[in-house]
Amino acid sequence: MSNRDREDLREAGQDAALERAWRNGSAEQPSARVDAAILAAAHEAVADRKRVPSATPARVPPRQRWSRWAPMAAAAAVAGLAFMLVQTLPRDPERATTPAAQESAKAAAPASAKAPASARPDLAERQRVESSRVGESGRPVAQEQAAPPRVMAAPSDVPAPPAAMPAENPAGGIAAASQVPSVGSNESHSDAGAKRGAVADSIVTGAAASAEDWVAKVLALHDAGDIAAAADTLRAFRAAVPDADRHLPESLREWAESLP
Amino acid sequence: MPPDNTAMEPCTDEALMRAYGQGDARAFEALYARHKGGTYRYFLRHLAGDAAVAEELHQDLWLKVIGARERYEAQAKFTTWLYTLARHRLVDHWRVRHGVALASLEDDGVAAQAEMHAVSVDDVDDGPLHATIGAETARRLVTALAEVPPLQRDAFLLHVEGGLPLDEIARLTATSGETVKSRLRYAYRRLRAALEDLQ
Repeated sequence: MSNRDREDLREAGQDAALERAWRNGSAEQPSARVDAAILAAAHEAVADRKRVPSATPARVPPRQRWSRWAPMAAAAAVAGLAFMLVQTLPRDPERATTPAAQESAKAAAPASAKAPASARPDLAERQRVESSRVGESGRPVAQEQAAPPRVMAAPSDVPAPPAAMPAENPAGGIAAASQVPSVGSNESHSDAGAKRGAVADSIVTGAAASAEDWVAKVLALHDAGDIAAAADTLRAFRAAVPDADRHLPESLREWAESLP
Repeated sequence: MPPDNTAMEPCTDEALMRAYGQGDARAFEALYARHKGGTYRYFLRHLAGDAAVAEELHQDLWLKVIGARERYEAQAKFTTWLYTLARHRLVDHWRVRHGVALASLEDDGVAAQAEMHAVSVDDVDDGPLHATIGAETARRLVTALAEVPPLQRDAFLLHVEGGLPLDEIARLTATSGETVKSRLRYAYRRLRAALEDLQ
Protein backbone atom coordinates (compact mmCIF):
# COMPACT_ATOMS: atom_id res chain seq x y z
CA MET A 1 0.00 0.00 0.00
CA SER A 2 1.39 3.38 -0.97
CA ASN A 3 1.68 6.40 1.29
CA ARG A 4 -1.07 8.00 -0.73
CA ASP A 5 -3.39 5.09 0.00
CA ARG A 6 -2.56 5.28 3.71
CA GLU A 7 -3.23 8.97 3.72
CA ASP A 8 -6.53 8.45 1.93
CA LEU A 9 -7.58 5.80 4.43
CA ARG A 10 -6.55 7.93 7.36
CA GLU A 11 -8.69 10.72 5.94
CA ALA A 12 -11.52 8.23 5.54
CA GLY A 13 -11.35 7.48 9.24
CA GLN A 14 -9.89 4.03 8.80
CA ASP A 15 -9.72 2.08 11.98
CA ALA A 16 -7.24 -0.77 11.82
CA ALA A 17 -8.53 -2.37 15.02
CA LEU A 18 -12.05 -2.35 13.71
CA GLU A 19 -10.94 -3.90 10.43
CA ARG A 20 -9.09 -6.59 12.33
CA ALA A 21 -12.17 -7.26 14.41
CA TRP A 22 -14.22 -7.43 11.27
CA ARG A 23 -11.89 -9.88 9.55
CA ASN A 24 -11.61 -12.11 12.60
CA GLY A 25 -15.33 -12.24 13.07
CA SER A 26 -16.29 -12.42 9.42
CA ALA A 27 -14.95 -15.64 8.01
CA GLU A 28 -17.91 -17.22 6.29
CA GLN A 29 -17.13 -19.25 3.19
CA PRO A 30 -19.31 -20.62 0.40
CA SER A 31 -20.37 -24.21 0.90
CA ALA A 32 -18.24 -27.06 -0.40
CA ARG A 33 -21.00 -27.88 -2.87
CA VAL A 34 -20.76 -24.44 -4.48
CA ASP A 35 -16.95 -24.60 -4.50
CA ALA A 36 -17.09 -27.98 -6.21
CA ALA A 37 -19.58 -26.78 -8.80
CA ILE A 38 -17.50 -23.72 -9.65
CA LEU A 39 -14.24 -25.63 -9.87
CA ALA A 40 -15.87 -28.33 -11.95
CA ALA A 41 -17.16 -25.68 -14.34
CA ALA A 42 -13.69 -24.14 -14.52
CA HIS A 43 -12.07 -27.47 -15.33
CA GLU A 44 -14.74 -28.37 -17.83
CA ALA A 45 -14.33 -25.07 -19.66
CA VAL A 46 -10.61 -25.65 -20.02
CA ALA A 47 -11.06 -29.30 -20.97
CA ASP A 48 -13.55 -28.34 -23.69
CA ARG A 49 -11.08 -25.86 -25.08
CA LYS A 50 -8.35 -28.49 -25.24
CA ARG A 51 -10.64 -31.10 -26.70
CA VAL A 52 -12.00 -29.00 -29.55
CA PRO A 53 -9.14 -29.16 -32.08
CA SER A 54 -8.40 -32.88 -31.89
CA ALA A 55 -11.59 -34.66 -30.92
CA THR A 56 -14.35 -32.69 -32.56
CA PRO A 57 -14.24 -34.27 -36.03
CA ALA A 58 -14.53 -37.78 -34.61
CA ARG A 59 -17.46 -36.82 -32.38
CA VAL A 60 -19.63 -35.32 -35.06
CA PRO A 61 -22.68 -37.57 -35.45
CA PRO A 62 -23.75 -38.53 -38.98
CA ARG A 63 -26.78 -36.25 -38.95
CA GLN A 64 -24.66 -33.30 -37.95
CA ARG A 65 -22.13 -34.16 -40.65
CA TRP A 66 -24.84 -34.14 -43.31
CA SER A 67 -26.22 -30.85 -42.06
CA ARG A 68 -22.75 -29.37 -42.42
CA TRP A 69 -22.47 -30.50 -46.05
CA ALA A 70 -26.09 -29.84 -47.00
CA PRO A 71 -25.65 -26.16 -47.91
CA MET A 72 -22.65 -26.93 -50.11
CA ALA A 73 -24.49 -29.80 -51.79
CA ALA A 74 -27.48 -27.55 -52.42
CA ALA A 75 -25.28 -24.85 -53.89
CA ALA A 76 -23.56 -27.38 -56.15
CA ALA A 77 -26.92 -28.72 -57.30
CA VAL A 78 -28.19 -25.23 -58.11
CA ALA A 79 -24.99 -24.43 -59.98
CA GLY A 80 -25.28 -27.68 -61.92
CA LEU A 81 -28.88 -26.99 -62.88
CA ALA A 82 -28.02 -23.47 -63.95
CA PHE A 83 -25.18 -24.75 -66.09
CA MET A 84 -27.45 -27.32 -67.71
CA LEU A 85 -30.03 -24.68 -68.46
CA VAL A 86 -27.44 -22.40 -70.01
CA GLN A 87 -26.11 -25.26 -72.06
CA THR A 88 -29.43 -26.62 -73.30
CA LEU A 89 -31.79 -23.69 -73.75
CA PRO A 90 -29.96 -21.70 -76.45
CA ARG A 91 -28.89 -24.76 -78.43
CA ASP A 92 -32.20 -26.51 -78.71
CA PRO A 93 -33.62 -24.08 -81.29
CA GLU A 94 -30.41 -24.30 -83.25
CA ARG A 95 -30.60 -28.05 -83.48
CA ALA A 96 -34.26 -27.94 -84.38
CA THR A 97 -33.74 -25.59 -87.29
CA THR A 98 -30.26 -26.44 -88.40
CA PRO A 99 -30.99 -28.70 -91.39
CA ALA A 100 -33.62 -26.40 -92.87
CA ALA A 101 -31.61 -23.35 -92.04
CA GLN A 102 -28.57 -24.74 -93.77
CA GLU A 103 -30.48 -25.38 -96.97
CA SER A 104 -32.29 -22.10 -97.06
CA ALA A 105 -29.19 -20.17 -96.14
CA LYS A 106 -27.41 -21.66 -99.09
CA ALA A 107 -30.30 -20.70 -101.32
CA ALA A 108 -30.66 -17.25 -99.84
CA ALA A 109 -27.04 -16.22 -99.92
CA PRO A 110 -26.61 -16.20 -103.70
CA ALA A 111 -30.06 -14.75 -104.12
CA SER A 112 -29.28 -11.89 -101.87
CA ALA A 113 -26.14 -11.27 -103.87
CA LYS A 114 -28.14 -11.16 -107.08
CA ALA A 115 -30.91 -8.94 -105.83
CA PRO A 116 -29.72 -5.96 -103.86
CA ALA A 117 -32.04 -4.66 -101.25
CA SER A 118 -32.27 -1.26 -102.88
CA ALA A 119 -33.94 -2.92 -105.86
CA ARG A 120 -36.86 -4.00 -103.72
CA PRO A 121 -37.77 -1.06 -101.52
CA ASP A 122 -40.99 -2.70 -100.31
CA LEU A 123 -39.14 -5.78 -99.14
CA ALA A 124 -36.38 -3.72 -97.70
CA GLU A 125 -38.87 -1.75 -95.68
CA ARG A 126 -40.56 -4.94 -94.49
CA GLN A 127 -37.17 -6.35 -93.61
CA ARG A 128 -36.33 -3.29 -91.60
CA VAL A 129 -39.56 -3.46 -89.64
CA GLU A 130 -39.29 -7.15 -89.01
CA SER A 131 -35.69 -7.05 -88.05
CA SER A 132 -36.33 -4.28 -85.58
CA ARG A 133 -39.19 -6.30 -84.11
CA VAL A 134 -37.04 -9.30 -83.79
CA GLY A 135 -34.25 -7.34 -82.24
CA GLU A 136 -36.53 -5.99 -79.58
CA SER A 137 -38.53 -9.03 -78.76
CA GLY A 138 -35.76 -11.56 -78.86
CA ARG A 139 -35.16 -14.88 -80.45
CA PRO A 140 -38.53 -16.69 -80.14
CA VAL A 141 -40.31 -14.12 -82.37
CA ALA A 142 -37.78 -14.62 -85.11
CA GLN A 143 -38.07 -18.37 -84.83
CA GLU A 144 -41.83 -18.18 -85.13
CA GLN A 145 -41.44 -16.21 -88.33
CA ALA A 146 -38.67 -18.34 -89.70
CA ALA A 147 -40.82 -20.62 -91.85
CA PRO A 148 -42.76 -18.26 -94.18
CA PRO A 149 -39.81 -16.31 -95.62
CA ARG A 150 -37.99 -19.55 -96.32
CA VAL A 151 -40.93 -20.76 -98.36
CA MET A 152 -41.11 -17.48 -100.19
CA ALA A 153 -37.43 -17.49 -100.98
CA ALA A 154 -37.42 -20.93 -102.49
CA PRO A 155 -39.10 -20.31 -105.91
CA SER A 156 -36.63 -19.24 -108.50
CA ASP A 157 -38.92 -16.76 -110.26
CA VAL A 158 -39.18 -14.59 -107.22
CA PRO A 159 -36.10 -12.53 -106.55
CA ALA A 160 -34.59 -13.64 -103.31
CA PRO A 161 -35.35 -11.04 -100.70
CA PRO A 162 -32.69 -10.10 -98.25
CA ALA A 163 -35.30 -10.78 -95.59
CA ALA A 164 -34.56 -14.48 -95.93
CA MET A 165 -31.37 -14.14 -94.03
CA PRO A 166 -32.68 -12.95 -90.71
CA ALA A 167 -35.66 -15.25 -90.82
CA GLU A 168 -33.59 -18.33 -91.37
CA ASN A 169 -30.88 -17.56 -88.96
CA PRO A 170 -31.30 -19.81 -85.97
CA ALA A 171 -29.83 -17.07 -83.89
CA GLY A 172 -32.82 -14.97 -84.93
CA GLY A 173 -32.24 -11.60 -83.45
CA ILE A 174 -28.59 -11.74 -84.20
CA ALA A 175 -28.94 -12.17 -87.89
CA ALA A 176 -31.90 -9.84 -88.14
CA ALA A 177 -30.12 -7.08 -86.34
CA SER A 178 -27.04 -7.59 -88.42
CA GLN A 179 -29.02 -7.04 -91.59
CA VAL A 180 -30.41 -3.66 -90.72
CA PRO A 181 -27.56 -1.49 -91.93
CA SER A 182 -26.96 -3.44 -95.12
CA VAL A 183 -30.61 -3.18 -96.13
CA GLY A 184 -30.52 0.56 -96.01
CA SER A 185 -29.27 2.76 -98.79
CA ASN A 186 -26.05 3.73 -97.10
CA GLU A 187 -23.44 2.44 -99.51
CA SER A 188 -20.53 2.98 -97.21
CA HIS A 189 -21.77 0.12 -95.06
CA SER A 190 -22.16 -2.31 -97.90
CA ASP A 191 -18.76 -3.95 -97.44
CA ALA A 192 -19.25 -4.34 -93.75
CA GLY A 193 -22.70 -5.69 -94.41
CA ALA A 194 -21.32 -8.28 -96.78
CA LYS A 195 -18.71 -9.26 -94.29
CA ARG A 196 -21.31 -9.58 -91.57
CA GLY A 197 -23.49 -11.63 -93.87
CA ALA A 198 -20.64 -13.99 -94.50
CA VAL A 199 -20.00 -14.37 -90.82
CA ALA A 200 -23.67 -14.86 -90.15
CA ASP A 201 -23.73 -17.49 -92.85
CA SER A 202 -20.88 -19.30 -91.32
CA ILE A 203 -22.73 -19.34 -88.02
CA VAL A 204 -25.95 -20.44 -89.63
CA THR A 205 -24.47 -23.17 -91.74
CA GLY A 206 -22.21 -24.60 -89.07
CA ALA A 207 -24.01 -27.17 -86.98
CA ALA A 208 -22.36 -25.70 -83.92
CA ALA A 209 -20.92 -22.25 -84.44
CA SER A 210 -17.50 -21.86 -82.95
CA ALA A 211 -16.62 -19.12 -80.53
CA GLU A 212 -14.35 -17.60 -83.15
CA ASP A 213 -17.31 -17.20 -85.50
CA TRP A 214 -19.28 -15.44 -82.83
CA VAL A 215 -16.37 -13.21 -82.01
CA ALA A 216 -15.79 -12.39 -85.64
CA LYS A 217 -19.41 -11.47 -86.05
CA VAL A 218 -19.51 -9.29 -82.94
CA LEU A 219 -16.28 -7.64 -83.99
CA ALA A 220 -17.52 -6.99 -87.51
CA LEU A 221 -20.74 -5.43 -86.27
CA HIS A 222 -18.96 -3.38 -83.69
CA ASP A 223 -16.35 -2.15 -86.15
CA ALA A 224 -19.08 -1.28 -88.62
CA GLY A 225 -20.61 0.98 -86.00
CA ASP A 226 -23.74 -1.11 -85.53
CA ILE A 227 -23.49 -1.20 -81.79
CA ALA A 228 -27.05 -2.36 -81.18
CA ALA A 229 -26.67 -5.33 -83.46
CA ALA A 230 -23.28 -6.09 -81.99
CA ALA A 231 -24.84 -6.03 -78.54
CA ASP A 232 -27.60 -8.39 -79.59
CA THR A 233 -25.06 -10.70 -81.15
CA LEU A 234 -22.97 -10.64 -78.02
CA ARG A 235 -25.98 -11.51 -75.89
CA ALA A 236 -26.74 -14.44 -78.13
CA PHE A 237 -23.10 -15.42 -77.96
CA ARG A 238 -23.27 -15.32 -74.16
CA ALA A 239 -26.37 -17.44 -74.21
CA ALA A 240 -24.72 -20.02 -76.42
CA VAL A 241 -21.29 -20.03 -74.85
CA PRO A 242 -21.10 -19.73 -71.06
CA ASP A 243 -17.71 -18.03 -70.96
CA ALA A 244 -18.32 -15.96 -74.06
CA ASP A 245 -16.61 -12.83 -72.78
CA ARG A 246 -13.34 -14.67 -72.40
CA HIS A 247 -13.18 -15.18 -76.15
CA LEU A 248 -13.58 -11.52 -76.93
CA PRO A 249 -10.55 -9.50 -78.02
CA GLU A 250 -9.25 -6.85 -75.65
CA SER A 251 -10.74 -4.09 -77.78
CA LEU A 252 -14.25 -5.38 -77.10
CA ARG A 253 -13.99 -6.39 -73.46
CA GLU A 254 -14.57 -3.01 -71.92
CA TRP A 255 -17.58 -2.47 -74.12
CA ALA A 256 -18.83 -5.98 -73.39
CA GLU A 257 -18.56 -5.46 -69.64
CA SER A 258 -20.83 -2.45 -69.93
CA LEU A 259 -23.58 -4.63 -71.37
CA PRO A 260 -25.98 -6.30 -68.96
CA MET B 1 19.73 -9.47 -19.79
CA PRO B 2 16.27 -8.69 -18.39
CA PRO B 3 15.34 -10.32 -15.11
CA ASP B 4 13.34 -13.50 -15.33
CA ASN B 5 10.01 -12.74 -13.72
CA THR B 6 8.27 -15.91 -14.78
CA ALA B 7 8.60 -17.45 -11.34
CA MET B 8 7.01 -14.42 -9.68
CA GLU B 9 4.43 -13.57 -12.31
CA PRO B 10 1.97 -16.37 -11.52
CA CYS B 11 1.67 -14.96 -8.02
CA THR B 12 -0.38 -11.99 -9.14
CA ASP B 13 -4.10 -12.29 -9.68
CA GLU B 14 -3.74 -10.93 -13.19
CA ALA B 15 -1.13 -13.52 -14.13
CA LEU B 16 -3.25 -16.31 -12.70
CA MET B 17 -6.25 -15.15 -14.69
CA ARG B 18 -4.19 -14.96 -17.86
CA ALA B 19 -2.83 -18.44 -17.19
CA TYR B 20 -6.34 -19.72 -16.74
CA GLY B 21 -7.37 -18.06 -19.97
CA GLN B 22 -4.63 -20.05 -21.65
CA GLY B 23 -5.95 -23.30 -20.24
CA ASP B 24 -4.28 -23.67 -16.85
CA ALA B 25 -7.09 -24.86 -14.57
CA ARG B 26 -4.80 -24.88 -11.53
CA ALA B 27 -4.35 -21.14 -11.91
CA PHE B 28 -8.08 -20.76 -11.53
CA GLU B 29 -8.07 -22.91 -8.42
CA ALA B 30 -5.48 -20.62 -6.86
CA LEU B 31 -7.39 -17.53 -7.89
CA TYR B 32 -10.65 -18.88 -6.57
CA ALA B 33 -9.08 -19.89 -3.27
CA ARG B 34 -7.80 -16.35 -2.85
CA HIS B 35 -11.04 -14.54 -3.49
CA LYS B 36 -13.93 -16.89 -2.84
CA GLY B 37 -14.36 -15.80 0.78
CA GLY B 38 -14.32 -12.12 -0.09
CA THR B 39 -16.85 -12.30 -2.89
CA TYR B 40 -19.13 -14.62 -0.93
CA ARG B 41 -19.14 -12.32 2.10
CA TYR B 42 -19.58 -9.27 -0.13
CA PHE B 43 -22.89 -10.76 -1.25
CA LEU B 44 -23.76 -12.16 2.16
CA ARG B 45 -23.42 -8.81 3.95
CA HIS B 46 -25.37 -6.95 1.31
CA LEU B 47 -28.12 -9.55 1.51
CA ALA B 48 -28.48 -9.36 5.28
CA GLY B 49 -27.10 -12.84 5.79
CA ASP B 50 -29.23 -14.71 3.25
CA ALA B 51 -26.74 -17.50 2.57
CA ALA B 52 -28.77 -19.24 -0.12
CA VAL B 53 -29.04 -16.18 -2.30
CA ALA B 54 -25.46 -15.19 -1.54
CA GLU B 55 -24.30 -18.60 -2.78
CA GLU B 56 -26.40 -18.26 -5.90
CA LEU B 57 -24.94 -14.85 -6.74
CA HIS B 58 -21.45 -16.01 -5.80
CA GLN B 59 -21.76 -18.95 -8.18
CA ASP B 60 -23.11 -16.73 -10.96
CA LEU B 61 -20.20 -14.36 -10.49
CA TRP B 62 -17.54 -17.03 -10.78
CA LEU B 63 -19.22 -18.68 -13.73
CA LYS B 64 -19.07 -15.30 -15.41
CA VAL B 65 -15.37 -15.11 -14.61
CA ILE B 66 -14.92 -18.56 -16.14
CA GLY B 67 -16.86 -17.52 -19.23
CA ALA B 68 -14.76 -14.39 -19.65
CA ARG B 69 -11.41 -16.14 -19.24
CA GLU B 70 -10.34 -15.71 -22.85
CA ARG B 71 -11.53 -12.13 -23.12
CA TYR B 72 -9.89 -10.98 -19.91
CA GLU B 73 -7.36 -8.21 -20.39
CA ALA B 74 -5.39 -7.00 -17.43
CA GLN B 75 -6.13 -3.33 -18.00
CA ALA B 76 -7.17 -2.87 -14.37
CA LYS B 77 -6.52 -4.82 -11.21
CA PHE B 78 -8.16 -8.23 -11.23
CA THR B 79 -9.94 -7.48 -7.97
CA THR B 80 -11.40 -4.28 -9.42
CA TRP B 81 -12.75 -6.25 -12.36
CA LEU B 82 -13.99 -9.05 -10.10
CA TYR B 83 -15.86 -6.74 -7.75
CA THR B 84 -17.24 -4.74 -10.64
CA LEU B 85 -18.85 -7.96 -11.87
CA ALA B 86 -20.01 -8.75 -8.34
CA ARG B 87 -21.56 -5.34 -7.91
CA HIS B 88 -23.36 -5.57 -11.25
CA ARG B 89 -24.72 -8.96 -10.29
CA LEU B 90 -25.95 -7.62 -6.98
CA VAL B 91 -27.67 -4.63 -8.56
CA ASP B 92 -29.31 -6.96 -11.10
CA HIS B 93 -30.52 -9.16 -8.28
CA TRP B 94 -32.06 -6.25 -6.43
CA ARG B 95 -33.64 -4.91 -9.55
CA VAL B 96 -35.24 -8.26 -10.37
CA ARG B 97 -36.23 -9.28 -6.86
CA HIS B 98 -37.19 -6.02 -5.27
CA GLY B 99 -37.67 -3.51 -8.04
CA VAL B 100 -36.15 -0.09 -8.37
CA ALA B 101 -36.85 1.00 -4.78
CA LEU B 102 -34.32 -1.38 -3.33
CA ALA B 103 -31.72 -1.06 -6.05
CA SER B 104 -30.21 1.40 -3.70
CA LEU B 105 -26.58 0.90 -4.60
CA GLU B 106 -27.39 3.31 -7.38
CA ASP B 107 -29.70 5.49 -5.34
CA ASP B 108 -28.02 8.85 -5.13
CA GLY B 109 -30.69 10.16 -2.79
CA VAL B 110 -29.80 7.62 -0.16
CA ALA B 111 -26.14 8.31 -0.66
CA ALA B 112 -26.51 12.04 -0.35
CA GLN B 113 -28.60 11.71 2.78
CA ALA B 114 -26.11 9.34 4.36
CA GLU B 115 -23.18 11.56 3.48
CA MET B 116 -24.86 14.62 4.93
CA HIS B 117 -25.35 12.72 8.14
CA ALA B 118 -21.72 11.66 8.06
CA VAL B 119 -20.58 15.26 7.84
CA SER B 120 -22.83 16.32 10.68
CA VAL B 121 -21.41 13.75 13.05
CA ASP B 122 -17.83 14.19 11.90
CA ASP B 123 -15.20 14.68 14.61
CA VAL B 124 -17.54 13.53 17.33
CA ASP B 125 -15.88 10.18 17.96
CA ASP B 126 -12.78 9.71 15.84
CA GLY B 127 -10.37 7.89 18.16
CA PRO B 128 -8.93 4.44 17.51
CA LEU B 129 -11.00 1.47 18.47
CA HIS B 130 -9.56 -1.00 20.92
CA ALA B 131 -12.44 -3.40 21.18
CA THR B 132 -12.28 -6.89 22.50
CA ILE B 133 -12.25 -9.27 19.53
CA GLY B 134 -14.67 -12.07 19.89
CA ALA B 135 -17.91 -13.55 18.80
CA GLU B 136 -19.97 -10.79 20.34
CA THR B 137 -17.90 -8.19 18.54
CA ALA B 138 -18.35 -9.92 15.21
CA ARG B 139 -22.08 -10.27 15.74
CA ARG B 140 -22.43 -6.63 16.58
CA LEU B 141 -20.35 -5.53 13.60
CA VAL B 142 -22.41 -7.60 11.20
CA THR B 143 -25.62 -6.27 12.66
CA ALA B 144 -24.36 -2.71 12.57
CA LEU B 145 -23.22 -3.01 8.98
CA ALA B 146 -26.68 -4.18 7.97
CA GLU B 147 -27.96 -0.86 9.28
CA VAL B 148 -25.48 1.16 7.26
CA PRO B 149 -26.92 2.61 4.01
CA PRO B 150 -26.06 0.52 0.98
CA LEU B 151 -23.56 2.85 -0.65
CA GLN B 152 -21.56 3.26 2.56
CA ARG B 153 -21.80 -0.46 3.22
CA ASP B 154 -20.66 -1.14 -0.30
CA ALA B 155 -17.58 1.07 0.07
CA PHE B 156 -16.71 -0.63 3.36
CA LEU B 157 -17.13 -4.15 1.94
CA LEU B 158 -15.15 -3.36 -1.18
CA HIS B 159 -12.35 -2.18 1.06
CA VAL B 160 -12.30 -4.84 3.78
CA GLU B 161 -13.45 -7.88 1.78
CA GLY B 162 -12.13 -6.97 -1.65
CA GLY B 163 -9.00 -5.32 -0.36
CA LEU B 164 -9.47 -2.46 -2.80
CA PRO B 165 -7.76 0.88 -2.20
CA LEU B 166 -9.83 4.03 -2.31
CA ASP B 167 -8.94 5.03 -5.84
CA GLU B 168 -10.01 1.62 -7.16
CA ILE B 169 -13.28 1.85 -5.25
CA ALA B 170 -13.82 5.29 -6.75
CA ARG B 171 -13.16 3.93 -10.24
CA LEU B 172 -15.37 0.89 -9.69
CA THR B 173 -18.27 2.93 -8.36
CA ALA B 174 -17.73 5.77 -10.83
CA THR B 175 -17.49 8.35 -8.07
CA SER B 176 -14.80 10.69 -6.80
CA GLY B 177 -12.20 9.75 -4.23
CA GLU B 178 -13.70 12.29 -1.83
CA THR B 179 -17.09 10.63 -2.08
CA VAL B 180 -15.55 7.26 -1.30
CA LYS B 181 -13.75 8.72 1.71
CA SER B 182 -16.98 10.20 2.95
CA ARG B 183 -18.80 6.90 2.58
CA LEU B 184 -16.09 4.98 4.38
CA ARG B 185 -15.91 7.52 7.15
CA TYR B 186 -19.61 7.14 7.72
CA ALA B 187 -19.42 3.35 7.74
CA TYR B 188 -16.52 3.28 10.20
CA ARG B 189 -18.34 5.65 12.51
CA ARG B 190 -21.47 3.52 12.54
CA LEU B 191 -19.48 0.39 13.26
CA ARG B 192 -17.50 2.01 16.03
CA ALA B 193 -20.68 3.25 17.54
CA ALA B 194 -22.00 -0.31 17.59
CA LEU B 195 -18.99 -1.42 19.66
CA GLU B 196 -18.80 1.51 22.04
CA ASP B 197 -20.19 -0.25 25.04
CA LEU B 198 -17.71 -3.10 24.66
CA GLN B 199 -14.73 -0.85 25.30
